[in-house]
Amino acid sequence: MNKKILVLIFLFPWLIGFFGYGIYPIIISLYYSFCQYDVLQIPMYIGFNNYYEILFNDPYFWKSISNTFYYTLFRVPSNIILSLIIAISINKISKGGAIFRTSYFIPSLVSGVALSVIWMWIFNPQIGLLNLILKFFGLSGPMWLQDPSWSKPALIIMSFWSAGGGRMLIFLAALRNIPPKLYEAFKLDGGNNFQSFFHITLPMISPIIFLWSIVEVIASMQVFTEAFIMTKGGPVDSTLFYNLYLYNKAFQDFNMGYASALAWLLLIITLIITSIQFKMSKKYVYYEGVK
Amino acid sequence: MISSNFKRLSFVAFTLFFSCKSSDNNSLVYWNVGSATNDNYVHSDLFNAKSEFHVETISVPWTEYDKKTLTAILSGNPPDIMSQFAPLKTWASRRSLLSLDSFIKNDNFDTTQFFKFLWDEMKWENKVYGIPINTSSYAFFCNMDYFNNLGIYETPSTWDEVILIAKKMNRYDKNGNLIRAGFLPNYGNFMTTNVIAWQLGEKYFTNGNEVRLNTPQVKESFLWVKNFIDELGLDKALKLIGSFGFADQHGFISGKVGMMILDSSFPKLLEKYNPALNYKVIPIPSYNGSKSISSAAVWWVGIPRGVKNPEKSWEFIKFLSSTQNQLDYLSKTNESLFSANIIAAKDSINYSFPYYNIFMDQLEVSESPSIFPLVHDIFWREYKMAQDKVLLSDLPVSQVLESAEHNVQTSLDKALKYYEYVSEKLNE
Repeated sequence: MNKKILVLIFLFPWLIGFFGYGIYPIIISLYYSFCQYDVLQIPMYIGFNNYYEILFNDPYFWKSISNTFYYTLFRVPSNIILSLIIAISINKISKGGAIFRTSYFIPSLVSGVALSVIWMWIFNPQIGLLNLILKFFGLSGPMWLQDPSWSKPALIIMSFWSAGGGRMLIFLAALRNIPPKLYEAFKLDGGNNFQSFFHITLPMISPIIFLWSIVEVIASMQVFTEAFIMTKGGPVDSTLFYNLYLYNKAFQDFNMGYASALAWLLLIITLIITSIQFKMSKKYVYYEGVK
Repeated sequence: MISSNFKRLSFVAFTLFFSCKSSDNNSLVYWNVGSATNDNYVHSDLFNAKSEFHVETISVPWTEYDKKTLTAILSGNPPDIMSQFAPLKTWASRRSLLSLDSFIKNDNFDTTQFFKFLWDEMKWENKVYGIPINTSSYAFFCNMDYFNNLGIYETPSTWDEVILIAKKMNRYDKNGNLIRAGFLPNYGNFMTTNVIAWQLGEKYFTNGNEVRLNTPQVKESFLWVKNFIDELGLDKALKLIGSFGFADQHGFISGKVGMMILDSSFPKLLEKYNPALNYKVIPIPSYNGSKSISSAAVWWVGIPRGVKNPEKSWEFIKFLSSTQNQLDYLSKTNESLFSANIIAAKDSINYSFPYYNIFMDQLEVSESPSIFPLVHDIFWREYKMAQDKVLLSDLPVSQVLESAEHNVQTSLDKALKYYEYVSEKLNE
């Protein structure tokens, strides 16, 4: 038998998955975004109505997009900074670094659902760990997930849980890749540790910061599990994130056409943000020390 | 070499493919909404002992049920019989079920064996799409230890009395935190706003397809709840609710709430998690002289679109709903649901169920939560959202209700247009 045919036969299961569960749904969802379609019945073509409705008549779209932007704006920088601080701290430790590295990494292995359930209890206003700690210091804790003004900050705080995960490890690897001679030369020129962080460390790891800013923005734009498990979008829509709204439209209201349009808009929004990030990266990302 | 490997591979694939279990004409599959309490009783076992064909019962967890069934129907491989407790009209309006009218007519099937209000729930556009199997209702639970400690020996019959008694039952810790509430409106599945609105005669629609949410009745019910919570202290109430959980952590079961609207599964839950709790079940209090109102859920069975043997599916449905099977089921299980079959529901076997008569009476005054089948979830989501906004924001009630009404109406108009389009296409 021809070797090429045999290769194709072995590739066939993967190709089914790629085209059947990847390419086809993407293409068909674009078509459905121009239809009213409840999954069980035939789609009704309605042109750009879904997009028009979403952009001009749907208050939940704007609410969900503003919630998602808020979450992204605060979660991405705070998580990157925190991971970097942990990585720098571990990098400075001469002995027992592996123990700290492992200790910080382990929490990131907890699955999203389990984590959400744990944090629901931590955020409990009356018996939760966080408010008990605040009470110990004489502070009155907020209502967290039950207060519209505290629910998003609560979910951002929760995201710190995995700051010591993969992000921290890659930062650590990047820090260890910085040639020590750069620091030695900087010291000979009279620079101190604080200055060396801004003039050597940050520029040298800027490609990694850039990488994580892209990855984290995309992940934050898709935030779903925490809100789905912990708040269901409440209270008063304060945690109605874009993907949760999309899910509600697709799998609760079975309005798959509208949900498809929302998905395509999310792709466009994410593409715009990512291109802005790429444009801005030219100003702060240094590759091999060359701007 | 390659050819030899290919032959071996083909043989393995062939064997695997044909060894997979496939359904045949003599074997049906029944998807039952999963219930851990009754795993010891499988309806199909008894049926299979007498039947010429075999039915396999598969329990599907209720959290996954909708999506799994939907996917199965869509892929053309649905279960032969499905059970559900979501409004049947919503499933029927999506044309996911077969009409049972011809079977009912051919068999002279006695439709009067079911409670009328449950039977009415089985119809969509004057056709029957399901058979009711089980039901449950809501009633008002009172913690009698708290009543006795306060020297109150009369349970409340009106919402005004609930306010007075609840105030006396509230307890605070030394920091001023609410640690026990006499009553917490809207805590639980049956919302107090909805109860009061129904008691005031609100139907939430006019002319069938006009949504009514911004009405004096709904406004009054929302304001009643808002005033109640404001007096209790919103933060205090939320903190207390935050300490509730499931099972023995439930507000009423744990004794943190003195009075509550709960469904008929709670006597069994109380027996399991807090058997020492001294409680009484009474009809839901009335509002300004109105009658008591409750809400009933209905568990039904139907035949999904696309099944290969609808006649056999019907045979099994007849068996499931029969008086004999219903009685057998009640006697052998710890079921907390009531039978939708009148004879089985009124059988003495039920008398050991605590406050059975109260729940049955509440069934008779039940309203259906299936108000707009085409936008069922959207309606109730907007309703709950409006409640949250009234309680947690400074927005005026009218503005909140007007916005909710507009959102539901817009969705309903679109759904109707789509429904008409599909109907036209099917008629072509």
